[in-house]
Amino acid sequence: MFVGAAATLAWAMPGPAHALIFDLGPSPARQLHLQVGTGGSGGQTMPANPTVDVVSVTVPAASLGNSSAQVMSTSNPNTIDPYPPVSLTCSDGRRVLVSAIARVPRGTANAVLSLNSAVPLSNATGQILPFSQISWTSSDNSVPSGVFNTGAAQTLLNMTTSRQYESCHTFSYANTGIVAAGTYRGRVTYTLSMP
Amino acid sequence: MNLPAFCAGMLAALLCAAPARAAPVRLDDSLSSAPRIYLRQEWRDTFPVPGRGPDLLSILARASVEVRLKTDSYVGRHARIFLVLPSIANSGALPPDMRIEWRTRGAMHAGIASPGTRTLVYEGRIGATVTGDWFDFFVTADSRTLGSNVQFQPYFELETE
Repeated sequence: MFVGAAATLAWAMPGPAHALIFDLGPSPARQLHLQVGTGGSGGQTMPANPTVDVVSVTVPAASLGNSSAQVMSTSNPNTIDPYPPVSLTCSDGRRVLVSAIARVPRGTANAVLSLNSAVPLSNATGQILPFSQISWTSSDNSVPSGVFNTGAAQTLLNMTTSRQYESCHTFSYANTGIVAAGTYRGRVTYTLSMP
Repeated sequence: MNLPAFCAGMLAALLCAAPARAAPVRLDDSLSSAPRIYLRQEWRDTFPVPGRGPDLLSILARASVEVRLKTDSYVGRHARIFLVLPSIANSGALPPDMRIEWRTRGAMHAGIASPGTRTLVYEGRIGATVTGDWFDFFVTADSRTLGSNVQFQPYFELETE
């Protein structure tokens, strides 16, 4: 109590004519950045990039439904973390960059990276294939390996500290069971949020 | 001579050798170019540096100001001028890991200070009624301990011999 009173007095005391007052302004703004596959071009503000990368596989007829996992390829064979200093390139035609950044000037970020794979893949005649047939392995588990759970809010990562998480993910089709012929398409949405 | 007697003797000798020094006087700096220096808190890195872990929160702020100190009462005298960075700000104690660093463009010394310290910026004869220099200030702090809208008042003290 005594210390607090003394501190207030010391600040309020005017002394002689005084000009040098440093005003440090507000803390830096909180930041969230998310890149899955093709991303932005760098800079302080991540530009919105409308590109949706396609991850695909064609299962050979001889392997249909034999539970032999099929590694999938990506439409962008060379996804790069564009933010300086560049540290990670996912570049074998299969790996997809997943990068999430949450920054808070103080306290805990409590950001969450989640997935929505609730809408299944479907072919031209309306037959469906659940996203649970697709899994991924992480290059370093910074953003961990997993399997789509067909939920609307699957938690991929809890980000408590103010830092960047990034990995290369390689997707695989489980290939269990025979499905009707056709090309199955679907979309998974990644969402990074912070309260 | 026993040890306590020896120490007392040494202390007396040192006190006698030191020149008489007047108490420091706080200088009027109201002629300086900026009445209030607004600094912008920024992230140290544009983006977090992978592999650095959570140590990403330092901030930088910078400003240039022409410091002009009224020294009319000391013209012709040998003096030392210090920059004093109080440990107290408007919101309480400044974080001890905060640093204010400056470069100068003239006769005053560059330096670095932490809260609660005084740093020599000039030593020599006072040659004019106003003594000063341009100071390019850099403030670094950890935003986890600094907080928002912190105001602090460094000031200058003069000592004569």
